Amino acid sequence: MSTRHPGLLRRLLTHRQGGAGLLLLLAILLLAAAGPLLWPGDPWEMAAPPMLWPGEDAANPLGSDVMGRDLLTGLVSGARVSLMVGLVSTLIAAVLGTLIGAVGGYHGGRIDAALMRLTELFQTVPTFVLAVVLVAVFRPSVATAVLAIGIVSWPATARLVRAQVLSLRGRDFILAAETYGMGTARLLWTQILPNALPPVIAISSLTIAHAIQTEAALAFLGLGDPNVMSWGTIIGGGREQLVEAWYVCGLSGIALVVTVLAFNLLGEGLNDCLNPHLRSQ
Amino acid sequence: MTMTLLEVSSLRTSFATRSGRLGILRDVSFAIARGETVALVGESGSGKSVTAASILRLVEAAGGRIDAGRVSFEGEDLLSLSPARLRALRGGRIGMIFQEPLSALNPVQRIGDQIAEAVRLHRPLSRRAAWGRAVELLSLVQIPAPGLRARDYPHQLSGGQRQRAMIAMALACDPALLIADEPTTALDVITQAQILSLLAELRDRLGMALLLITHDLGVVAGVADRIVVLYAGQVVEQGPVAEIFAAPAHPYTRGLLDAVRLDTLTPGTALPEIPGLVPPLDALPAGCAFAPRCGRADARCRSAAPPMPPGGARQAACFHPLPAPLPGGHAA
Amino acid sequence: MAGAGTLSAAPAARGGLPPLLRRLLQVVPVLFGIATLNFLILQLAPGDVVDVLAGEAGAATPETMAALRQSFGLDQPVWLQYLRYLGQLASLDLGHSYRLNLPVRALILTRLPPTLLLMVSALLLAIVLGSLAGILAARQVGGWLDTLLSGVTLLSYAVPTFWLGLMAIVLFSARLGWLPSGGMLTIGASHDGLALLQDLAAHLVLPAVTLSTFYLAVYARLVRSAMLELHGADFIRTARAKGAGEWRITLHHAFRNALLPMVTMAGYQAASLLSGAVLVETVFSWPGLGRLAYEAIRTRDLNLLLGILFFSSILVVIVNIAIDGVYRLVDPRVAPRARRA
Repeated sequence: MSTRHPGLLRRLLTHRQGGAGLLLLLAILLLAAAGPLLWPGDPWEMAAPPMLWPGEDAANPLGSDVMGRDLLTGLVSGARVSLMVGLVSTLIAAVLGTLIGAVGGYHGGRIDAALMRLTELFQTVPTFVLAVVLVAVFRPSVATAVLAIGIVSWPATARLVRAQVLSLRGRDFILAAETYGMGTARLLWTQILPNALPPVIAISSLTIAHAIQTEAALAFLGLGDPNVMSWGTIIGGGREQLVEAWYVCGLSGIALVVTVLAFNLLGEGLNDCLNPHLRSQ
Repeated sequence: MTMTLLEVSSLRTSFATRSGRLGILRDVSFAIARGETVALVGESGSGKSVTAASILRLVEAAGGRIDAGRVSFEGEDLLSLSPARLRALRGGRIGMIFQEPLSALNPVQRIGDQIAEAVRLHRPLSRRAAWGRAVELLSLVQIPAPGLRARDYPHQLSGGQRQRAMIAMALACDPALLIADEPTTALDVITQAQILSLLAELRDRLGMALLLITHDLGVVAGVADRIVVLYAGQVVEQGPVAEIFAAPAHPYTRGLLDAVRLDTLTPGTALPEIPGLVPPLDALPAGCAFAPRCGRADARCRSAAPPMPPGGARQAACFHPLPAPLPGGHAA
Repeated sequence: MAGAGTLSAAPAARGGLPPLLRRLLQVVPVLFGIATLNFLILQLAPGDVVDVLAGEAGAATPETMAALRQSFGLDQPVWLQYLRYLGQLASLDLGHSYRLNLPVRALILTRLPPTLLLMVSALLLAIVLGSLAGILAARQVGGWLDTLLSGVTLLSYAVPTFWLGLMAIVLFSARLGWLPSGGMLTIGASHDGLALLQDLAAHLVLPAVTLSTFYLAVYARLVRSAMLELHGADFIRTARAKGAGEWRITLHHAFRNALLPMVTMAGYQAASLLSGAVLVETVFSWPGLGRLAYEAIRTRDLNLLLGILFFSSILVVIVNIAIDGVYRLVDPRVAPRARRA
């Protein structure tokens, strides 16, 4: 019943999808980290003639947008925003979901029923519309985007953790801990959660992917942070000259697709590697 | 004056497994005459169901392959039939019913529609006429209020009624042969007896032959004319039921019969346990497959497989068959 | 086997009320929850409730603002305001859009039909084409179609709908000139009868296909695995033993049963489909609820936005009930009239 997987990285790398996802992700992380050093500059600054096509000028390898802003600088900035928003909002969702799922699954009864109703409510409301409302009401910024996405993304995790806790509850080692007189909070924290964690990690990778898509969609609708250049912002702006300079939308969309794909693949890999008993299916 | 209806000869069927092809049937031969009831008995894993599925070539869709042998039915070789001709025989001249009627019926279609489909696949009838035929068939298998039950879905019927509905479906086109693959195994004892007597009655009334696959000796005693004993994918003994019950020649058959009191045999009497295990099919001994469990086996049995003697009403594949019976028959 | 939809955890047939009514009653707590959520957002929003409702930046005159403060009862305790708000929503009064100077409910209802048209077309497209792809892929596992399908699925999970729509506009309307790039009807053209329908259909193609892509991939995967699972089912063997041909077995017996998981899935996805519609409508200027939401964002018409959130949640609940109904149709086992045998 150990949650340590000494060979997890190796297993992930030999897993076809997981390995591909991990490598893609490393490349994106590297670009996001090294980008500002390699291509310094403000992504909002006019650095070239407008609508310069990719490859036309070596100084702006990916060309420029309608306002003459360098696209590569913008894409690198977008990568940082996407990864940050994806990670932090997923962290919020994971904490919320784990808490709600664990408490409901452990306590059962009325508390569980109430929490399940809440979960169902959040699965009935069109989550993207809710995120839109939240960001619009509380003013667009990176912080509101992160919070809004976190708030709409926890139900899947909550359901998963609840199911895990329910199945763990009856196990001998939990009963033993209970008999020792271990308190509820301590029991949840030291005995149940560590064992329920692997699937949460796997689903979190998928949640990140979805969060990145949601952030891009919000920014595309004009609900992005006005001071931050994200992929959604670039696509939203590129829409104005969609036909003449479609590479602006095209390239930032490809960056988005590749990043989301990386997290999806990684999630598949983690799922297979962390739940070996499911692998035979 | 026996007219052979179905003749299975030297049938070999194998399945693909992770460790290569595994032969499930290793030379199975037997015949069924018109109107005759033959019981195919053996422990689970002996190849009974695969034999049944091989006759209609249903094994092919399940990942199996018929490697060699002949199955001739009314003079036609089933193994070389065109797909269209094969479909015409399936559910046409040969009907088949299965062990678990609930899962063998389509859960989302009405009983009547499923029977009517069997009719319309083989006969140019209108929907209405086929439905009428379905209701008629349901009353033939003695389901009360057949017009109403035809409108039910499988989950709304009892286990016995479902099996009756399966039988109705198999009888849709007046088959000359009905293959029943463990038709009573999933049912309770009382229902088992009812289904068996229904099968026997229908067989007599419609003059069809019946191939009864079972591991239930009570079923054999009550209904069958002849018995074919299967062990590890081979026929080890066959002959008229009365003769074999009175005096089994093969030690395996003897082992099966020894533990049950024949005079009190009723349906529901499962095959008795014989000491030892059925050898795994991928690790069969060199000689007779039964030798490791056989009290009469000697060096010859362990090195060479005993052949099935040709012809005759009674056959047993054994180097050391049991002696003929004492007058007075078999005593337990 | 429970019915479809997120709300089907309710106790099974208990007699008394007819199923539809009972189902509708289960909706009440959900609506109550959504209304509470809306109220919570209003309370937590910066500025007071009326600032938010009036759409900030002085869309309403100071007089209306004052009147609004009065009518909303801002001088009264929060719980009273809450009850008042619930009462308003209960009478389906979603308030006023001061930007557009129209009642929110009227605005939403005029935008509903295009959204429904888009959602239903996309769903049908996804179900029909997804089933077809799934069936064909399952017929030859590992074949070229199967490989193609798993690749397309992987991609479609990663491609954002709105970006796909933009690229479709670039390719199919700008480059190839095959289809119009936005709107629902050609502006200025006064078609009638068949020509009108044709015009509508031409405008519908790109948005509907864009919205359906993701679901198409999901359903294709689902049908593929359901078909493979059913391949070894006993009743499939029965159908074969009856003499049914392979296509008949595939469509009439296996696919009919593979529909069940797809219907369940469609129920789960009602909310996500609506979210997708918001983005697709924005991209294609499709005059539905989503486009209205986009306009509301642009003009910071927050009350309209809240109304859309409330109404679209109701829509999801209704779709879930409808899908439960469909499930009852395709799976006789959940019908309550089970006869004791």
